Amino acid sequence: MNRSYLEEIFPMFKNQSLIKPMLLLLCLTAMVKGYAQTSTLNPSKQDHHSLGLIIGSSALLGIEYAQPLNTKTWLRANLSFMDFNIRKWETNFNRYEQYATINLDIRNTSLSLLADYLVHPKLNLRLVTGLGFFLMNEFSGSVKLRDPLKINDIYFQPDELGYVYGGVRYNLRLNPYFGIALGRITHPKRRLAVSLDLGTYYKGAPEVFINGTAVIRNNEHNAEVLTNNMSGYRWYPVINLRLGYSIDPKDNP
Amino acid sequence: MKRLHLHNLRLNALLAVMVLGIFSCTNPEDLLNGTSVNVHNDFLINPMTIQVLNYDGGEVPKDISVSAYGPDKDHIFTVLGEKDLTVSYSDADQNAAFLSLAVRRITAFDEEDPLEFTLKFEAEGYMPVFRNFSLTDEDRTMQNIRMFPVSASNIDGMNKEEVSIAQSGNGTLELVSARTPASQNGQRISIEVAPNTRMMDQSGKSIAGNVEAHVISYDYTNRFISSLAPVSLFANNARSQSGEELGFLNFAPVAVYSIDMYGAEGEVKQFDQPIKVEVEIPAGTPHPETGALIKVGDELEAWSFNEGFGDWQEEGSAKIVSENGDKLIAHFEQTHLSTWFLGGRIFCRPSTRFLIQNSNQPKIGPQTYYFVEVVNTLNNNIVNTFSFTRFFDGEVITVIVPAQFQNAPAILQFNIYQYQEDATPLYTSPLFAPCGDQLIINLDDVLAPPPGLGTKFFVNVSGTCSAGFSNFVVRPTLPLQFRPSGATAWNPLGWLDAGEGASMALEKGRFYDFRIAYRTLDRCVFNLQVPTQDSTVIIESSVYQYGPSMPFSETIDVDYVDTDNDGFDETVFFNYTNINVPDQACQEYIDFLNAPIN
Repeated sequence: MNRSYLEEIFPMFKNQSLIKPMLLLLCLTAMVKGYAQTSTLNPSKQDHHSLGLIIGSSALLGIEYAQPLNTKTWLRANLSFMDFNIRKWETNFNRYEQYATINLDIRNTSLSLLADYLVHPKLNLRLVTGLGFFLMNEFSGSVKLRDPLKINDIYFQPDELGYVYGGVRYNLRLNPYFGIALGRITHPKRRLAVSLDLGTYYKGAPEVFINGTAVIRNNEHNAEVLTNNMSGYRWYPVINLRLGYSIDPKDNP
Repeated sequence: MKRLHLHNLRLNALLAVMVLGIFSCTNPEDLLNGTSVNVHNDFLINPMTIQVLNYDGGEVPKDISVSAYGPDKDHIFTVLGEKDLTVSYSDADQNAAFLSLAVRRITAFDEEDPLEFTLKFEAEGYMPVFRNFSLTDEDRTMQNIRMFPVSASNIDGMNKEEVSIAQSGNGTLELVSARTPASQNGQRISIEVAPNTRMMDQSGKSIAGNVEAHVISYDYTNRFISSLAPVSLFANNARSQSGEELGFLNFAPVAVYSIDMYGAEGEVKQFDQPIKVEVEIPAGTPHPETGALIKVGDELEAWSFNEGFGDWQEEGSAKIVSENGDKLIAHFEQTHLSTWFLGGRIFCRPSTRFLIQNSNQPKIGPQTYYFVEVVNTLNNNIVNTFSFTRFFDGEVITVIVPAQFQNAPAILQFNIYQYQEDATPLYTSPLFAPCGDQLIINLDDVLAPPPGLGTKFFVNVSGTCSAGFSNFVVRPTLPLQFRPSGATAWNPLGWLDAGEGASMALEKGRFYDFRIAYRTLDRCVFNLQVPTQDSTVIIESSVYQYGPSMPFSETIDVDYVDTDNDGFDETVFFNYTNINVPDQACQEYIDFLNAPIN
């Protein structure tokens, strides 16, 4: 897989500036950790730093750094990479005679800072809150016919008939997060630990944009109606699986 | 690898399913509430509309069929994408039929590579009409053609002679001759069919029995003849005698004639021996190649219109002889029938072009169409006419005219008329040469309407179908025709583009008829007066209704506005955007969009 293909599928690779905010987030985490150490009574047994990989609804792939503040509280910083394109997805949704070619562009990469509080040690249940910074916060796509369509004596090419394009954009870039987490961030006896995040980002009211070309042009007026209809859809569900690796050698042989 | 926490994972999976369930409770129909989908009907572009009229303004034949020929014939469709070029008729107005031609949007054509095709219009009992077209841009145009019954008498510009030819088993019984009356410039055509000449149809099958022969001389200097004559006087792709393709050619005709013969068994197209043709050449006619006056011993090229491929083909040459010492006669023999001319070919590339400057009519905006005739100033002969020309600002008009002779100097000019019937032109151009000339024509003053006239009409039309039709919003793209009430022929008022259109062709207070003729959609409204002040007009439909005894009507607010503050309210806005379209009309519209999708 060469780099240009990666850039085509994952446009975020074009954006090298992501490294800077990531470093900033890690530094913030470290500062909070420094502050927390001064107020923790006996941090030595709990001071398990952890690196994690995340996959799920908000992360095609994410990396996370977690730092316990005390026996019940952790601080996590993650970069959840969720930028990708789907090209030429062909489907008839099992209900239409004609097949459609669908292109989708997902721009949902985020940098998040989360705080976990252990509320049920036996179940390893934590309450989680935090804030995500979404770089673009946009889902868009286009749909057109896959095959030429015969109208009377002409086989019209899909581009002649036109296509519909549109999407949903969230203008709020800083999105609060609320949720729960199950499982361990670190395990006292093992290096590997698994946990599951269930929660939601509050993204604010979405803004819909839509239009078409050729015979379905001039449909942009529907954007306002759809924006209004979708104004209640402000919560983005998160189901993420986290695989953590403890990086504390003395406590994790 | 160490053991994972499978128990917790199972619990987590259950919770995940619950969360997904919560967020997937979305009813798509709720999301789509209040939306409406604009669907346009212009799958194809409509660069040309042809109005078919009867020669005398009477009823047009109902069985007109149209065939396409020429290099680009496969690019020509109806506006519904049909190869079968079907003509639209109206029961409300039986004196005009329309053919809306269309090409695909992806078909590229321009001045360097025009769209070249020929259309043949046929109807039982009428002479076939061929028209050559060379489209260079997508700007919509309209042309008139007139159907001429075989049995009709002479009319201005067409001089006709009819004769019956008796046949036996060996062909014609005796020598038969026919001679047309002299045209205005003294030209006339004679034919002579020798005894025992066998007559055959196109396939070579003998036609027995008596035959009615029609010899017609066409006076191309008549301003109406260009819509009535059976052929166009240029070739998109002429052929030599041997069939070699010669490409685009202008012609310089000295005489144009057609010979048609009909028997009980069909139409005569060829003979087993040639028939003699004599054309009387008016004195003072220049030779097409040299420009010098035609004299005894000269030769003129003979061309026939080949109905097999729909274009002109070279046939040889006619010799000029003297009759009675004072008349010049061109002698020729031909073995098949069609439309013919004697004259010459003119290599006219580039054609003469005009760049139009006209601040009164932007390319997109209120439209007015004019009638144009091109005149040879040496003899005041009309050499061509153009039915409907907009002269919009920036338009480049390419003139294809029959030149009088090769390398003719600047002897032509064109006149612009509001209507074809007008006697006084609005404008007369400077002199120009038939080939290769380029002129800038400024019409800012000459086509400016007088203060208080030249009312601009802006129309916005859209209607919403009921929920049963998915709240479709109908924004039609259609040509609109109009005519002063009482007239026969329709003129283009303009095109509605996605429901929006504008015109400058109407006058306050006058009564007009309006018509939409777009393949399967054909509607007429007669005798509507253009209001002279702000008013409300109610048009009740005779076709649609909301339900029993609930006729569909439109209430139109007419608002005059003085947009340029010159003291005259000259801009009118018609807004028809709140129409609740009756279900019947919505069904028709959807049928129009769909029909007939195979």
